[in-house]
Amino acid sequence: MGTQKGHSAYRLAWENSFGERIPFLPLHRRDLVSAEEGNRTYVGENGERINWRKFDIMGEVVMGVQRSQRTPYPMIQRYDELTRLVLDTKPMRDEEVRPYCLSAGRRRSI
Amino acid sequence: MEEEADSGASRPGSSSEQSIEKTMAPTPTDPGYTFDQLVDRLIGLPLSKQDNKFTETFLCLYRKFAPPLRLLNTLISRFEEKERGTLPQLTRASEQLQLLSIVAQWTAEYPGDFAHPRTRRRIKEFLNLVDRNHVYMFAAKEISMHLDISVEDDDVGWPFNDEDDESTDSEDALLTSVQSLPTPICTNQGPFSDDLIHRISTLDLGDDGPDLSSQNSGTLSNSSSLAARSDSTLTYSATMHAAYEDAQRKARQLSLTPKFLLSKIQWRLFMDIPDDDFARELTRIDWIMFTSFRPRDLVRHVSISGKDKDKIKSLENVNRMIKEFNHLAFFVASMILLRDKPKHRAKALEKFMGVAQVS
Repeated sequence: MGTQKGHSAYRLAWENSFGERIPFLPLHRRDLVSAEEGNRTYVGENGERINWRKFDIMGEVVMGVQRSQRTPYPMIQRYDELTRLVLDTKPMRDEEVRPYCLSAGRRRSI
Repeated sequence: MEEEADSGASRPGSSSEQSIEKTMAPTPTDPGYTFDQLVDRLIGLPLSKQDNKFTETFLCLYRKFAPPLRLLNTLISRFEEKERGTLPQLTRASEQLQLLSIVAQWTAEYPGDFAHPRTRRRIKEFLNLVDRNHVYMFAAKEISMHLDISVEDDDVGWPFNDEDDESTDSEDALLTSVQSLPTPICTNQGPFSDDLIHRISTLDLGDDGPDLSSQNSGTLSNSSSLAARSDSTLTYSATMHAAYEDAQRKARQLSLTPKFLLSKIQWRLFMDIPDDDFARELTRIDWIMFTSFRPRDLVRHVSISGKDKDKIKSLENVNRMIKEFNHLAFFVASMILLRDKPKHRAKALEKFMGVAQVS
């Protein structure tokens, strides 16, 4: 599921899974952005004809997201302790995380 | 495109099919379509699975090139043209019902498009007219029910809004169409029995939505596609809307509240929790956030420029999900890097990998 070949492994899995699923949003957002900015909405001499191809491409992404939203997950029990653990913890931000990496590198090269 | 041309040639085509063949073939150098051509395709009888996707895509994204009122006016004028046309009754009825089913789908999925008073008035007037004809009465009532859900318009971020469209042409068109809608509509007998008409007109559809749709849709409509769709959209609209609001409510409770700096305590807690539970809980949180917004919200979020994104109220659900996603990413990284010793880090890494593989 890596970033090679434009996430082709993820894309294949995404298109072929028909159960419940939550999309990897950054990828779909990137697809929408590139469809949006890479294609003109209007074509033609006076720019009055609509480039439907662009919306077809955006529509593919939207359809996938819509389909996944309509397939509900079975009811999952809440686990409050865990919810609080994840949501209440302040993770280390970039500047703090890097020093940890650097100090580990000095002591032992990985 | 080829599919439509072939199937159209072998059938005794209706008017719309023939005009679609003529107008849909784009020239190689100019691949665009006009708005009218797109609307024609929208209301044409579905010829392939592509057309279903086309309808969904069009209704989701049309606001990038047209305000709702324009689409509404175009649909209404198509309806009126066909009423004035000379097609045989059954064909006309099925085409008109197809058009009305598109309107029903539109009002069910995007009621916010009709928030502007002028648009709302236009569609209510149209429905009142259509209601008089017993053939379309049921469809008109169903569409009215969809419109009863009062929703704000989510028009921030669309290039085309009804408010910007200050032209008075729409007002004139309204007046002429009210006058010129021909009286034959009221006197059309159609193929339906008096008994059926009596039953429909005396029922109060407001109370018994789902049951009635299953009773009547089978007998009323010629085209079975409308029957299937009216069954599903009647309950679909109400239940989807309820589910959507429920998710939003829950999502608000799941906002990030960073209180504790990550420390060994959390680390130990985390390592002790079984993989399954962790995976399940994360899924639950993600699912609630994910269902709290619609695809259109995502599309708008993508097109709005950077600094405004966080301020728009209607996009709060998308923003929340994105923030939570980023938070989780940092959470994982921090959890792994918290402990200095590689063996602890490896343990945390393995744990996360185990969680990720829970199916």
